[in-house]
Amino acid sequence: MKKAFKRIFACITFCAILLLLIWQANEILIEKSLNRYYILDHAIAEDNRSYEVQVFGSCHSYTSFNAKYFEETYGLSSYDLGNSGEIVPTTYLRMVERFKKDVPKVVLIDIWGTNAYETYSPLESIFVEYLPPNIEALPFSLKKAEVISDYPSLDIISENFAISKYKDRLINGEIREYDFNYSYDKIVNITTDYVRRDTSMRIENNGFCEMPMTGELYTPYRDVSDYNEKQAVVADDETLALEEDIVKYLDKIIDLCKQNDVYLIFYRAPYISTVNELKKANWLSEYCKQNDVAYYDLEKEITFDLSTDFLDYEHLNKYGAKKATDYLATHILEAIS
Amino acid sequence: MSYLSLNFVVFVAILAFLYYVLPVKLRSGVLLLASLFFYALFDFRYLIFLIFTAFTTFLAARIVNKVKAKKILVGTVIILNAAVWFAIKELPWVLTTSSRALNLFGIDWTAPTLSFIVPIGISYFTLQAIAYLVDVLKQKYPCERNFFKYLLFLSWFPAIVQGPISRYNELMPQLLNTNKFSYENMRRSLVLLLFGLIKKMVIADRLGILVNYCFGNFKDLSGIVLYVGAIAYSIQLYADFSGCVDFCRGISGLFGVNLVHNFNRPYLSLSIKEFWSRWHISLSSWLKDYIYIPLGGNRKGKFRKYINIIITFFVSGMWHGAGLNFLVWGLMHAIYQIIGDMTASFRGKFKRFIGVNKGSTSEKIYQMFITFHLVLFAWIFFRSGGMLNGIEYIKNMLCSFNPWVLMDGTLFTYGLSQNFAILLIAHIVILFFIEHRFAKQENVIEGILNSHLILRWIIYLILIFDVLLFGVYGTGYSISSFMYGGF
Repeated sequence: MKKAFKRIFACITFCAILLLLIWQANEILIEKSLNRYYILDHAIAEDNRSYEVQVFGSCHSYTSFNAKYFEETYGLSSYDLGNSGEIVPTTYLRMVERFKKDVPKVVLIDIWGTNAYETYSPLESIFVEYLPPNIEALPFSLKKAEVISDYPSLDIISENFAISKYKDRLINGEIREYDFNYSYDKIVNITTDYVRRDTSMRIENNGFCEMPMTGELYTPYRDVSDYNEKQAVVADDETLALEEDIVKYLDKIIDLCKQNDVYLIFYRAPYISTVNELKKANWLSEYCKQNDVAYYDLEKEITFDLSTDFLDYEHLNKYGAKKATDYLATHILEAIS
Repeated sequence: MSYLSLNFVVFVAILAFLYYVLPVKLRSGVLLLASLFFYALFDFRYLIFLIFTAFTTFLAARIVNKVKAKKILVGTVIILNAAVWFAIKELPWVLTTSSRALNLFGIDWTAPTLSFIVPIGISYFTLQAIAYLVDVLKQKYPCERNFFKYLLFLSWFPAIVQGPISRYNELMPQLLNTNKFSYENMRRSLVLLLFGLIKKMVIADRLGILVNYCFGNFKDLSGIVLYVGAIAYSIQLYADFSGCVDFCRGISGLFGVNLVHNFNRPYLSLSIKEFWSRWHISLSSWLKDYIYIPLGGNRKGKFRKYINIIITFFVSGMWHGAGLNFLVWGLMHAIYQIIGDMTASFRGKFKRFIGVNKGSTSEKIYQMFITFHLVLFAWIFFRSGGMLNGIEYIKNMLCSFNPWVLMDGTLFTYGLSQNFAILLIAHIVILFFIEHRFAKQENVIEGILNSHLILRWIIYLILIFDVLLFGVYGTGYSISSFMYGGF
């Protein structure tokens, strides 16, 4: 009996050591400079603050809502937690993880991730083709496993074990000093990486990406004076239903916010959209009404100046973002009061 | 369900737990259900073929020693099962090839398009069933009286996809054994399983990148590059197949069932005859016992012996796949053996004449080198996907002399970087060293298991991380299935 206990103890100890080493290997191997979430989450963890307004969604979220300006002007702490190419299932997982540490009063979600991803890639392959590192930094959970099982292009091992995705970095000699340091401080010293530089700026601005920027990272300013001619026109009552897998996670987001007593707002930042994207936005507007959730189409509700408010056809610049933030702020304050 | 999947890990873990927790009486039933479940997951219809083979051979074995026309009965059942196998695996190719051949002679005949489902492992369980039936006929052991137990023998899940081809009298008693849980056995099996994974995922699949490039682009490549590709394929095939066997032996060992060894350092053979006593041992011994010896073996004169060798290797070629290249591969080995046998006396005299010491190291190295290259040339046909492709590959390989590609980095542009190549070579050297130790009766696994706890754990961790860090899996790679699973 004593021998058996000894063996069980040995097995448990060995498995614990193995898991610890795998976890360490994951931390070392994960491609930090490519993964905005990794950098942002570590920066936020170091800040150790709570945020009353949290913004999720794609790059449209962190270029249209200026969290730092909002915080300074309206006195509510806020952070842009979105990521480029983030679609609804990822937003849901991000919210679940964020709420474990810090439940906000208000959540804003830009709707690019519900209807516009097809501009870049079909839904079934968006995780692979558009932004592969989107969910790998999220910790393993049954909810994450559910998302993975819903999207055939994802696999449970690659999305949970960075070791399987980035193991070749070791043999290719791509491991850097900062790989052994999990804080943002080390990564910040790399000056060559596009994502790191973009994220570095976001960290200074509560997650907001202040555009236009100088330097080669973004084109300084693009003329969008033909925006209205390029933009598709769709009547308000023309709708196109969202995909089942998207609606499923929208429902989950709404439930999650209800359970945590969080005020939820969906909004559409202006950008050149296809006919189908606009129809889907109309559908989403109806869906929000049915579910008693706030929805604002900023393109319809605010007048933007084409000569000063846009960075390009897809994103607002800091002046446009100020207008959008002010507009959303009135609704946020109204909701909180 | 692939052997190399998370689902399989979960499946084996649950089954092993049930196996040791449930009463002994229920164990064989659980193993049978699990084996059938595993097989049915590939395609439910595969079960029809498995049960057909099991039922016909079981029934024939039950009555064979009660009827007068024993041989006719056994022959009929063997032909029936072989015909099913032939129809599924060979007939479409035979008809298409016949049609082409007739067209060449001006006879206009179009072969009907046949498309059968091809049950995985049919080549393995058919051979096991035939061997069982013949052994019962020869009264080597009594027939099995319980159909379900016999079905378990044929469907044993670690071996059904890729063998090894087990004999009834060796496997069945182990399957019915009341194995108690053994901590030592578990450890031994898990280490064996890890060795298998390293061979497959680190060596074979990594080499596969270069092999696929060379065999996929052989028309545009030449000389040393193709030679390296052929060597890489020889090692890939060995690492893949022996890795799978180690893996399957490891899985099987978790249930206290030891499957047979299938390899014994084949590339160190001194002759083709010796090669076949070291490569895919379970198949070559089957061919010897149930084809070569029943045909008369070497008991009826040289000429009959050579004919028997040709027939045996013809069957071996057919067993490996439908295609002229497989037949050519088999016949090449037959011809190697025949020529080797015919010239043995002359070669002996010649060696004495030039003063070569018999059994000297230099002679062994020479023989090893020649044997390996004879095997390598045959493997080119085996891999090339067509006889003409094989000929063109060899032509391109021999018609150009460009050894500088070994030095100028050209080889590293074919999907295998320099670092990976170094890693691979290190693994291959270690693999051959370990196998050499095994051959010297120094069981490396036992050595690991008996070492000090800390050293042992370090070795376990190195093996596990070897697979995790250097294995071909995850993003950017697709885990390829075991190569011999396709036969």
